[in-house]
Amino acid sequence: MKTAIKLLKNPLGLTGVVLLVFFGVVALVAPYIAPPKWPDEPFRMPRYGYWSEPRPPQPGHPFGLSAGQYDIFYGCVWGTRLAWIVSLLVVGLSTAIGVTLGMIGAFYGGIVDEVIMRITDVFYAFPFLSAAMALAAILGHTVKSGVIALVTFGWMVYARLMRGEVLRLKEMDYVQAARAVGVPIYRILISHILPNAIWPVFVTATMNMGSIVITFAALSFLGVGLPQDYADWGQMISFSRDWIIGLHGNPLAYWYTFVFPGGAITLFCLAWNLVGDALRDILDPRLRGRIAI
Amino acid sequence: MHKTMWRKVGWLLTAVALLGWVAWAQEIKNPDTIVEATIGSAETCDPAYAYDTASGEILFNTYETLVFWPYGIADAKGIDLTGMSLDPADLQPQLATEWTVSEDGLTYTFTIREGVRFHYVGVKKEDGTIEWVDYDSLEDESAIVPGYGELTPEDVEYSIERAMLQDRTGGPIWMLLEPLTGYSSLLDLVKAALGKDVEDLTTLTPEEQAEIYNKYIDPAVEVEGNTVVFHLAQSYPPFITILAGSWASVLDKEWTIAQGDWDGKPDTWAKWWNPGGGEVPEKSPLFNKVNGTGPFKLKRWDIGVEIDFDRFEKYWRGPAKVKHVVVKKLDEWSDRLLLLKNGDADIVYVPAQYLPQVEGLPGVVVHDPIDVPQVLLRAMFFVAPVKVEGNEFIGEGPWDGYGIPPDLFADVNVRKAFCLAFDYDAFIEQVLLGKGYKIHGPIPKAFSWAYEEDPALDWDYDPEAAAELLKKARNGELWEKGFNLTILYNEGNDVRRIAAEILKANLEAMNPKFRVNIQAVPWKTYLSYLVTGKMPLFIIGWIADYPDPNNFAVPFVASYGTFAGFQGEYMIENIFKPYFDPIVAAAMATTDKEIRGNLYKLIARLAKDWAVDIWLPQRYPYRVMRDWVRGWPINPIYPSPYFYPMYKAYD
Amino acid sequence: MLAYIIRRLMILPLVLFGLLVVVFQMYNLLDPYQKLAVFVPDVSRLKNVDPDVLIKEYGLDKPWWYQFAKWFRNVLRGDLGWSQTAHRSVADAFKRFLPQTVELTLWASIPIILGGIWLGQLSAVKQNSMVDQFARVFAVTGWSLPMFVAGILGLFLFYGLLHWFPPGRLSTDVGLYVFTSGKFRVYTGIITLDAILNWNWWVFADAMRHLILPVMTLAYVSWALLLRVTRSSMLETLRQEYIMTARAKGLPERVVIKRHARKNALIPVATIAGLTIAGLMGGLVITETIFNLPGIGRWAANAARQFDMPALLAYLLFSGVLIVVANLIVDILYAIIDPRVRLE
Repeated sequence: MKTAIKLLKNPLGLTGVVLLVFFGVVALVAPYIAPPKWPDEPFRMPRYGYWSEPRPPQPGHPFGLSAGQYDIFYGCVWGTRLAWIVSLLVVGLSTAIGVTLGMIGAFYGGIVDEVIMRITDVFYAFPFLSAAMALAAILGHTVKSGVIALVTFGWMVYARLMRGEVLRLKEMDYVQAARAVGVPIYRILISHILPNAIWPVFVTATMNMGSIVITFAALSFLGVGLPQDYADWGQMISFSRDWIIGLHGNPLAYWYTFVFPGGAITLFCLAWNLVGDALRDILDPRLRGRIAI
Repeated sequence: MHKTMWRKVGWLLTAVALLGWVAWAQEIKNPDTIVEATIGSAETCDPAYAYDTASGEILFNTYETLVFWPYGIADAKGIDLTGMSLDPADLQPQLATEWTVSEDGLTYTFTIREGVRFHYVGVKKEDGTIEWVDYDSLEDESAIVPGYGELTPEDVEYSIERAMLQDRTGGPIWMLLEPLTGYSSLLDLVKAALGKDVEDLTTLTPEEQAEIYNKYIDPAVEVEGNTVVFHLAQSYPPFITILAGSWASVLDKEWTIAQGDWDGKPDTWAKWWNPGGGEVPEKSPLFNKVNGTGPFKLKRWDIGVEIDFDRFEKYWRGPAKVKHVVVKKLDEWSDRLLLLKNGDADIVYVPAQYLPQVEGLPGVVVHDPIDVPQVLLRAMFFVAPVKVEGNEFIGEGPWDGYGIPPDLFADVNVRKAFCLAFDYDAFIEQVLLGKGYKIHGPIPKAFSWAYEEDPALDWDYDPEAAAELLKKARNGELWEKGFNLTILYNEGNDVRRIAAEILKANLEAMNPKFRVNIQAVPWKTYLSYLVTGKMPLFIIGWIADYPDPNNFAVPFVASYGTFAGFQGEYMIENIFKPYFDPIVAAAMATTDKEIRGNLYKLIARLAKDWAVDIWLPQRYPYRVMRDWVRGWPINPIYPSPYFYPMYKAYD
Repeated sequence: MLAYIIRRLMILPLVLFGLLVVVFQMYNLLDPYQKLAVFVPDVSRLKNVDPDVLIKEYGLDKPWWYQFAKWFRNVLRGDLGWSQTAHRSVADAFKRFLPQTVELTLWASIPIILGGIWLGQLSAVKQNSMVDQFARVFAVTGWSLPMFVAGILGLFLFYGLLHWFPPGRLSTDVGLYVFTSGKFRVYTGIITLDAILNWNWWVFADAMRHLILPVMTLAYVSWALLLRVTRSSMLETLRQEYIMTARAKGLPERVVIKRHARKNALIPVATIAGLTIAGLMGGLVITETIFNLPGIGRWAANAARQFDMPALLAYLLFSGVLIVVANLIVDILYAIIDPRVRLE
């Protein structure tokens, strides 16, 4: 609670929170502001004709139509929803895996710890985007494969962080005392260590939300992410790529294909980074972020 | 501090202004060089191995063939199609000066041009070894060792025989083997000739190799004085057009041997058979080396990035008009557009959908459409039955309304309904931007003598009629239960996707129980589904190897053809074999053009009756170039620009 | 300390082997038919042949460890296969594409170091000043603006709108001069470096003009990360007692920062070198794709898109080994500089 108040008092943090609330609302009300054509597949963007050339904003299509006549407004709105789903899923899953492995390793130590940390080392050796790109390409063009790819190569940071925290806490008097009186290990882990160790992980996770969305979009941009008609910001930005030079005498002819999805993804990440930054300052000024794209 | 900072800013601005000025400079840029910006990477420089248009571009401008297709001109000054032809009677002499064909069409005799030299010729060094030197920089003509870099009839014989013996898997040499030996691959020939089940010809003994060579390969191509004589094993009317393709390029025998290729002996060839299993082009000794008689020399081949040509100053017809040709491979459209815009590229590959971006650019000329029918074809193929086991596209077990019945397309009415459900006019208007035309049957319009101009043969979009047919299908069960059909396309291929989307929209509007999924898969996966027969409906295109209807009839409707062969057991046994195979064969058995034409027209009619495929409308070709481009040849069978007559000027 | 280094070196082969296993497992996710298609370049190869026979022939139905052993043997022999996207053997493709990537990275390191480290410590020293505010805003936007958005924006602004820089690698006439005239010796394939070695400033200027935008795009992201890390590390160092002592001794602020603070503050910066390289590898994929530069990043992206497995696996191995080795070197150096590490 105190954290939340502090966060809202920080002007940058407040900006971030406001933006996040905005994106959250958009994601929640997506079915109402952009009713899907195929209700069981809402993320598929409907197309209005088969022309290739984008068309500017007009009544009915407030953001215009992108290359291939996909409605940009629809794509941005459902893209927001997708961004939330993907980032929460990826960060949630990789945190869960990382925390579990880090905790087990640190608590048991010895050979268990050694094995877990060497596995972490191996996965750390892959450049995040490149490895995720390869795995997503192999798994095929679905949200699921993108998420799996990002989780597979993204859990290590949490494992290391958690391990460090647990190692520190393990030596604390109250944990030692609990062990001495014979409290079961899983109880110690869950009720004593986890609540104390989770905060740094939480801050890092917050800061990673934005970069996960960027990486996921990059997969689509590179052509190994989602199918072409999927409402995804990265996909929509890649649509704009072939039209960005504009027309003779009118270089800005197709600005709308780029500005709306590009703006959406940038603001979304900005919001998370502002919040993450502020949280870090409040909770632990010594934490450092990890790399994004 | 402020002072130094301002000075720095000043420098920066000056530098920026300078850069901008350099980029803006006008006039004819690089007047001695033609720059082409395009996509796609050449696979090899070996004429016997190459079977892609990008490799064709290198071979087409550096090597030469016995005969050559005449061209029209479509350059920045205008279009003149008068010279252009796809009629074998109009073939021009190139390395052959004249030729005769025997009455039965089985013997072709070519007189070989004299005095032609290759780019590199052999001269004797002091120690007696032979060195290959650039003919352009050779001053003493008499230093050439006879035959080394001089065109002889033996070179022609060697080139064709080498190609037939190399016959790499998936390569173009079936075109030579079929007419000259009667077998479509060397492997088949050896199996039949030796009566032995071999898979790897490198295991043949020297005696076996000699037997094959002496009995089948050597007699097919013979040197007689100054002529080369081809003996065909069977009637093959388009044979001479095959000799105009890059696979029939003439190599210098001595040079090729010096590169470590086949030594010309009857009992050694197996070592060079199918290099790299047809998968690793590098394994051919000629992979990245070129020594032709053509107007350009290959100066540098930076695979997948750039190709640089220098002109052959002592080319037998006289040197080309420009000194250099640069072919840049740029996959990104915006990069190609920028090069075109600022004059750094003269001719540019523009995907049709981006044409609006080049129209009206100053200094750029767009010809669209050019009234030349293309020799390529695109279609959606019905498969019946699809393979059931392990097939994720047809639903679980027996047809339950989810997925499709495996033999869905065995019903001719279903196929007809699908043909009627495709909106051809929307495709022409929105995808081809109005610059297209409908086609029917597997024979392109370019062969006017084999194509019937009858609108009644075209399919039209008619959802009511389609619905009627579907209601009757499977005794009404199909309409009742619905289906969930998956159409796949290879990703990145927009036209195929849109075609599938049009079909999807129309079918789904017909009956809410009809569902169509469109899925993109990588090309490799697409191929694997194709050959395992898992796709109920596949979309694929075909570009002519040689301009003859046979080159379309076989892949599209012959039971042994490249595409028809993947359309499932039912289609092959009940449609292609009984109805089409005999006509395809009959059309090859005669050289009478009228009879052949009528047979091909019959094939198109049958294709309509049996609704074997959905034929996608064709687009007219177009060209985009800088306004200083002159003399750009046009002929739909050319794999790439032919740079020899091209130059840059304002005249 | 020696024990620490030896321990690290002993772990190295273990990690490398793990790397190989992970890379191979990715390939192993394909079903035998897909694997077959990976090997086979052309439909016709599969015609008239039962795919199951070919699968047997290639051993694609064998257990994974059998296939792994086969692949591992080839990797050890240096036979990485044929890349169908590059139309070259994988080894040759590395030889061709690596110089471009190295060139891009080398030039990008200048703005990264200047803009990241220098600006980072500057903003820490002058905490809350204009510079600091600017740097922080810059860092947070840099962190948020995806590289492909920044790249396209640059393409649009400088190529399309302002015509400042040309696309591609070299102008046509310069390219012809460099590669075909015979007057220019290509030593390394890194064109800017070769231009210096040839003492040819015309070529150098042209090469640079084409490089500016990709370099800035690539630098952009690492910039933000380094700036952030340097700033916080510097801030922390400045609060340390020995800095206070130095100041108390009356040393000028400039000396305090140069002699005492900077060196210590840069130690944690060095430890993220591995991360920076990993980030650059990802960045290269995007930059080279957008700007169409023939480097290994673009090659990898094409390979992923077109299922060119030999290329993809080789690329992953390469980048993995690069990062492992870089981390090892950094860790060892770190251990030498900072004795506290050895206690771990």
